[in-house]
Amino acid sequence: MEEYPWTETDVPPHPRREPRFPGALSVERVREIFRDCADFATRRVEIGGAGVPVTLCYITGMVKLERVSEYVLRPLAQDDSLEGDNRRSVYRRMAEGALYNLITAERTTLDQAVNDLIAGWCLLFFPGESGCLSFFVATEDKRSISPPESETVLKGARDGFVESLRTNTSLVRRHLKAPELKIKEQIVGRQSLTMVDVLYLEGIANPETVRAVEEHLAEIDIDAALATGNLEEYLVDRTGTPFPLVQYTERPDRFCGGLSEGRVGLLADGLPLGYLMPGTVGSFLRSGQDKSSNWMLATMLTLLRFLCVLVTLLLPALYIAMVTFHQEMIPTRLALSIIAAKRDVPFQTVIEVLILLIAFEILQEAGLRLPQSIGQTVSIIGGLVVGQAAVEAKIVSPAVLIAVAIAGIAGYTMPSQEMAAALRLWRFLLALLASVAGLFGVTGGLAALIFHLAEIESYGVPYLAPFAGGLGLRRAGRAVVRLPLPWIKLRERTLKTPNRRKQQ
Amino acid sequence: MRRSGWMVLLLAAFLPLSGCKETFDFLPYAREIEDMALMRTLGVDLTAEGVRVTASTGIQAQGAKPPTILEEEARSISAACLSMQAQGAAYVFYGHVGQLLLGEDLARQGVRPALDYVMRDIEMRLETKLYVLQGGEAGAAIQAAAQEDSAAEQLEALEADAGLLSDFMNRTVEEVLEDLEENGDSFVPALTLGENGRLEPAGYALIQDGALVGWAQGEAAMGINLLQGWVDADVLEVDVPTGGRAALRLVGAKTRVEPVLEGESLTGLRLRCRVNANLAEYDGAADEAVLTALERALEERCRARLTAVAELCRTLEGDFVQFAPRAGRSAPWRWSAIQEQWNPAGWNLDVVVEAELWRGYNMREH
Repeated sequence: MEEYPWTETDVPPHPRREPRFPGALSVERVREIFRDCADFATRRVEIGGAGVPVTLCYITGMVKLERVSEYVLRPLAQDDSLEGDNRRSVYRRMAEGALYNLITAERTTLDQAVNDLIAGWCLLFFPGESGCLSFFVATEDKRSISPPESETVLKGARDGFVESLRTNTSLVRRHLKAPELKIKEQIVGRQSLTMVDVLYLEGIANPETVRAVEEHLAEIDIDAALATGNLEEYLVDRTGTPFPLVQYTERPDRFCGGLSEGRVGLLADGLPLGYLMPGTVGSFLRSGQDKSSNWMLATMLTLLRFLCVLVTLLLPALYIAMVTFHQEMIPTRLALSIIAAKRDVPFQTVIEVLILLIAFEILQEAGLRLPQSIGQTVSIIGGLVVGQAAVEAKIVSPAVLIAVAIAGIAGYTMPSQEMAAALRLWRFLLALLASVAGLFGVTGGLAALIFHLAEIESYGVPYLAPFAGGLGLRRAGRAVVRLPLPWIKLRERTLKTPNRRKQQ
Repeated sequence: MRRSGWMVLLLAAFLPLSGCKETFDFLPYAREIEDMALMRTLGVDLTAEGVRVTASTGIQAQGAKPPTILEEEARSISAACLSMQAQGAAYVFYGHVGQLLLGEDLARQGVRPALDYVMRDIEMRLETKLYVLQGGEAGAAIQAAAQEDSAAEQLEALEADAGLLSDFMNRTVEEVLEDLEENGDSFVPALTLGENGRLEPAGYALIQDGALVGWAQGEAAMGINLLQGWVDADVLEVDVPTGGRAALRLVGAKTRVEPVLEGESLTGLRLRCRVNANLAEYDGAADEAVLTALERALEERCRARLTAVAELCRTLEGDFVQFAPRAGRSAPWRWSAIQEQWNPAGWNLDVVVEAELWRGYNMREH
């Protein structure tokens, strides 16, 4: 029976092998590497009348067969210039453009060749040659560009990121046509070999932030970057916080807006979203729709969101504190109706609130995991029927139901779901503190929350900026008040952009 | 270091299981709201041994249950309130007491102990409305009111309707305490127990040096409202010189109290009052002459009311409506002279009233 290591010192090292596939590049080695791979295919072709046998390798499903036939096989069979008995000269002519394919490369190492095959290239091996020719013939099968599902667009562009990295970079290019838009690529994941691009506007983005993002990416040594969490947790310096430190969006226009503000973007192959760094509290409470709305409306909605932060965070805790410790704070008539409603409820207030908060989380989780139509049904049944039944059965009182429901709905106003989730976690903590020490507990919890937020930084920018960092009341006000866009002449100081002026 | 920090936190979380209750004495004490009896009205009466405190809830369960009334006698209000906790399982909570009702005997002996209790008690509020029951005991009035509905409901209705009465206004414990701190005198709305156990307004109780010395009723009570500018519900019926009667609705009044000084000596007090009214009823042509006559009549009535208040103060030798502080605010540079020479019995009173009819609604003119 195999024994498993139990201590960290027993864990075997995990070195990255360089090169991954040692040895000379040959068709036999490629076949060996892709043995037991049903999608790996080879085709032996004789060129022209000389009868030079060449071998074409590709992975079915990754290449577009029409391209292989049209741009590679047809010239091989029909192009007179490829006839001759000098294999070396034929190889050179092909490398220099005798084959029509747009993207052609010569590969000399096994790693390059294997990676090309997986990325949708086909390889052409000549007998006796130490290298091979690689032709980009990848299929373009992908989801078509559609409106983002999680970020509703009322007034604005309806395109959303898709799973194809190159499509996403093209979307960004279409929005930001400046040649200063730089796209640097790295491969992340030993097994997934995921292409990850760092995007920024040269001269606007802080070079330090760009360098920090690249360093973070280079340090990632994981098996596969398949889920968002695989990247997010590696992109931030601090994982001991529930609050999001990088912002994500499914909307290319919002992504480009972030780049033009001086943020650094990140796109990963397979992920239909883009990350923007650094992330601050203010950026998570701003909706992509804000800039499309009238400035007064946008300001009111931003203020409403800040109010909702307080409501979702504090309402259950304040209810517990006031009903259990500070009854004098409740208006008399409200206190009397709470007493009347709670008279036959067997549980303490804190238990009632916790039951409903947990039920709320369960309903939300169930609604998310189920197919959309069933999820909605579960939410409606859970919210209305079960809630009403619980009140009628005197398991919970109506006031608690209302308080928890309002807190939950207020949480849904957050433009960032990660921010809403973090607030939900703290809501539990504050409710527990309120049950122990009333308003003293709530105040202590809030102080701890502010302390926690104040010590977080995202790529050198204080997380609470511009409310913290000594930027003054005026700048703090701008995070809440969305001034008319012609008035906003400068980019945010906190982003430390080399060029702060955005308009005359 | 991080591991040891987590261990400390974990151990701290288990502290409540240690049984050391004293460890958590710094935390506030939790009480479920449904286990409480929310007292709404507190009545205090004088007894031979000390005081009798009567506490009443409001009507309960939408009127299905009568109010709970608790009564205890003790040497102090605090002791009586504390001993009420032993009556029944529910915790008697005074944080929602909205009305403090004092019996006449207790008020004559002194209102300060009751107000002091409200000020110092951690549950009671300074915004509690204060009343003095004329010719009766607060406890008996609370009991009688419970036959109808509850003292809390009746007094809350009275509070809400105070704006509709021209000789009654709400006063809080805080306001009365401020007056008493200022010069020892104040006025408190008075109540009487009417038929069917209903509490009815009865002008004002006049407090001098913290004790009840008299009552302001009728024109004097209306004069107090006029001084304070609480005249929104006042309708005056005046005789028109050309014949008939007219009803005038007062819509605003502003009274300024000014000291009359000759050199450094205080020789009198001038009450300068501006009254605005609308013509509410008049069956006739309200021409300029009629309106002028109505204004003069209005001035005369208001002058009489203000004079009645001032005379009452002079008779009882008290400054119940804070003439002196108000005069001092008019001439703050003479404040020390006003304080030193304040003697209402010795100087002249000059009441100047300017009335103006704002809206005649005389359709016949158009």
